[in-house]
Amino acid sequence: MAPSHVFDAHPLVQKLESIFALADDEKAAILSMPMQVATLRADQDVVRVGDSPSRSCIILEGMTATYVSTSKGRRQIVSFGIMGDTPDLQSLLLEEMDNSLSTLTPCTLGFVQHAVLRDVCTRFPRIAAALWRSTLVDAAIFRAWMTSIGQREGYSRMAHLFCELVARKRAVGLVEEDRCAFPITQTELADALGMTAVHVNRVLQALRSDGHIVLDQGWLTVPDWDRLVAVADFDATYLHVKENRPAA
Amino acid sequence: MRYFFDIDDGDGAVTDDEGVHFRTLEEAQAIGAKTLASLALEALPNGGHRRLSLDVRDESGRVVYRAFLEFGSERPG
Repeated sequence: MAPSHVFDAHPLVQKLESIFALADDEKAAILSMPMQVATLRADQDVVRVGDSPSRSCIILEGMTATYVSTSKGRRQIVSFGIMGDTPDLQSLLLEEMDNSLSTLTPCTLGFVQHAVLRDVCTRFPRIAAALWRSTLVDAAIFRAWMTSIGQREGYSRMAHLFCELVARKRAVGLVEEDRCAFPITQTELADALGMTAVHVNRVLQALRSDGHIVLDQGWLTVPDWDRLVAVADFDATYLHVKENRPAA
Repeated sequence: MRYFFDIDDGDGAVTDDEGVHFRTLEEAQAIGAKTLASLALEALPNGGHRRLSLDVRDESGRVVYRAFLEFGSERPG
């Protein structure tokens, strides 16, 4: 069997390991799943409402947006996907898509047939448990967004999203020295936060001038994490990231 | 077209140095007005009177739209 660090390089293994300890044979099983790798440009739909896909994707690189559109054509982004996430895994058990998924940035996606996922989950019940845990964390993230949109003012609502994205990216090794890629546009932030693009623009400028964030050409730096956490009223418990996981 | 939204929410004016892109002035106006209303929701609990205002500038710096919202209250009797 290959050494453990080989398995850890697989984005899905890395993601699941951040919330659930996997044994080497389980990691090997994930690694051996046949995967069709596709490169997509930014702003491309991966699946749409009403589709009945026979496969789900793993984000190998890039960011995605899960969204729902109203009949008036207004879009609510309900979550962002990052490396290692499985943003349309629900289609494994829910036949018809009730949301759409698009790329936010150029993405590399690994598509795995549902039959393959079912087989792996049957042979390795702990992988099924890990995926279950991952979808439960996704649900916790939805609850946090709902709370923010319903109860937090624009300033802390946006700060909360920044905290969440940094914490999630940190869990899969995408944060270096308090700095990570932040490719989300103001329009996308507006659609995610339930604010107008003008309000987003105003709050972003305020967060910057108050020294909570530095945004430079798609890179986000958080100069003082504890201060941003306080402003955001952020408690990372809902992300259920395991402490003391092995270094990537 | 880029439009700049200078907003005073009653706690002081903030000049917009970055602007937001809109296809038409009508769209910029509509979103500007909606923004003023949502800022009012956040600002209103502070006091019985408040005036929020908005200037939209185009790329040449000319003010092309101006709006305000005023909240007043009293306890009669």
